[in-house]
Amino acid sequence: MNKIAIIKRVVPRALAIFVAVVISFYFALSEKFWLPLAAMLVMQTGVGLALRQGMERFFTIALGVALGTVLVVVIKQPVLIAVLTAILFTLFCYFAVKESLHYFVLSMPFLFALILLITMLLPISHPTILYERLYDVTIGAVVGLVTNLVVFPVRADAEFRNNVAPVLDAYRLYLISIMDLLYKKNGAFEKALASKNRVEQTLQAQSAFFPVWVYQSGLSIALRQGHRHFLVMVERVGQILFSMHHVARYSFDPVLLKDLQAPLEGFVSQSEKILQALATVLSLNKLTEGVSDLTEELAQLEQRFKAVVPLSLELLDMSKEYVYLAAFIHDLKDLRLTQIKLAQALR
Amino acid sequence: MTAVQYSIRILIAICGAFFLAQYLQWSQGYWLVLSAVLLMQIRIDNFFWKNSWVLLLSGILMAVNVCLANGFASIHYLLPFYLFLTTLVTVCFSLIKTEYFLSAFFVNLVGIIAAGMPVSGAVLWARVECVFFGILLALLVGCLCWPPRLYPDLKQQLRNCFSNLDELQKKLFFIYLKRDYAEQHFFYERDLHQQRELIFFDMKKMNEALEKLAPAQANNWRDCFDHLNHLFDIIIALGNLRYRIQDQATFEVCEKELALVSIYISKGLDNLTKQLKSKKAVEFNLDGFVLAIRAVEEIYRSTLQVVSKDPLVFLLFIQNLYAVQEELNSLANDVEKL
Repeated sequence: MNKIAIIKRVVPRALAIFVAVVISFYFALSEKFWLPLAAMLVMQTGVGLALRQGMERFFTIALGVALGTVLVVVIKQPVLIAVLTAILFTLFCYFAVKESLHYFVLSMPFLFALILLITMLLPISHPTILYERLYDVTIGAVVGLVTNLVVFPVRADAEFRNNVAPVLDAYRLYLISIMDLLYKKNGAFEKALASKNRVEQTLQAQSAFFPVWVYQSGLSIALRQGHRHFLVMVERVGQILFSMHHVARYSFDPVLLKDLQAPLEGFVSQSEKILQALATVLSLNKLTEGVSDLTEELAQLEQRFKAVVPLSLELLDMSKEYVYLAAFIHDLKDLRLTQIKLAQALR
Repeated sequence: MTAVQYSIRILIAICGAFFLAQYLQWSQGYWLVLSAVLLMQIRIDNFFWKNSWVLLLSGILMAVNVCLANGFASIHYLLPFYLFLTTLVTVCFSLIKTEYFLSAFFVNLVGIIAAGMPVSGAVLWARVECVFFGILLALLVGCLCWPPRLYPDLKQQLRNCFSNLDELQKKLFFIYLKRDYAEQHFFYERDLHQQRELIFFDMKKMNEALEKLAPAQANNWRDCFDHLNHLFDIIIALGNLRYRIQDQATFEVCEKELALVSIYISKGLDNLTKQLKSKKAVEFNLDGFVLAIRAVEEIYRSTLQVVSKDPLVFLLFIQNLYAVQEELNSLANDVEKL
């Protein structure tokens, strides 16, 4: 994640806390922390979902506060309250973890459990506390929601582009290392594995902010369809590269590979350029030159392949080497078709 | 750790915290419950020491933040600036080091709560004492209930990899048997993405653990890891059939055969897991899998060559099935040496 993206995420949250604390000095009716706490918690939203998820989080907080306060007001025995708190907190934590082990802390059941716990732990000073807490939570939520929407609002399209560009760049380096592995260059095996590890890291939401949020409900319908389609295509490129890596591990007859070298290298170099161009377009948001024709070298490669290997399926079937080479070329063809779809989607 | 195990840990911690707070009659006892319960959520690694250090450090930072926030709360005009700064630092840290998100989030959270309920010197000391008891309780429950391992357990990680790989191949083959892939492909692809992500995570952890091993010890593991990587690539290659075949009805022709292949891959991976668990040699036989591949091959020659628009992709698919068989055999040899 680059520095500007970090600043854009950090500043609104810190600012919301600042404003909420100042407001709490003058307007808070109950405990002073409810206002900044509500502001902080409603801002834990996904990209493009600030309003919808923020509202959902606000209602969850309000419900937690209401239930917790009512239980403490109604049940006077501390031991019973302690038992009830333990059971309810554990139960909602269980639902949260069952939903997702990695991201449970951002889920609604966990938020509800947390608020319920805080509410039930605090002593009740007077009977109107429920109204006062809800009043504070509402003001805090408004501060959080408005700050999230107004201060450096995260533009889903820009965020998406920033997230996907590094993936495409990792793909490009991976493709180069796969070609080295196919030609069994020195250290190619380790290089390909290292490039694969890098691709795997960029494809993980936890480490590289891979935009899985496009799959979440609540994202604008206009953006959702296009972004999901693009993301599926991006992932498809990765899967094709994994498949090519599998084939490139085999030892092919050097004479056979030499026959195909010129068209193969031409095709792969063009594919690299396309990946680079796509990454540049995504990161700079402008079209670049350098990629004109997308299918001409594919025809050349297929022609050359047909010249060096048998044409019919039966004969192809007889040699494992030919089948693997056909698989590699089919993968390259899939790669180009997917790249074309990505380029079309960019328009 | 499963959701049930996680919940039992939380229940033990919260009950223990309530009991201590009641028994010791602390006015600030709820800080013990809060700190223990929050710290119990932090589990960043599979290794005991790293996990415990992070838990301890997070607890200490929580106590420091409680003290400072309490101090700044008495100076009205400085408190907003202090909380602004702590939020800035904690959110920034959690964005750069994503694995420490929970620690940073909870440190900030307790600071906000403490600032909202300021207390005087003696009570503040009782509050900090409660936080420290909370840390001790969280560490104790962490040690007693399903503690992470003292040293990297590569065999356990390998078993996780096999299990997740099995889940991935099942999901890929399941798509071939479902007609609604074209309409619901976002749903399926998201599911597949999550499954792949689990494998990437396992592989990353395994790679990290391998780097810590002595070179002599690492050789066998390295071979095993390479074959595992290869097997993953082949399974992904097998899954590529889902977008190479546009007409989902084509899969109807070989529905039973595909289901059988998936079952046998599953059995192969299951045998590898058993071999890892068992101290005695486990019989590793892939004859059934070979028969299942032959059945696919037969249907390819008799029907798919005619029915399919692009029969070549099925030929490549069959070749990849044989590659799976080879890799499973190689992995069985590797596992035997471990």
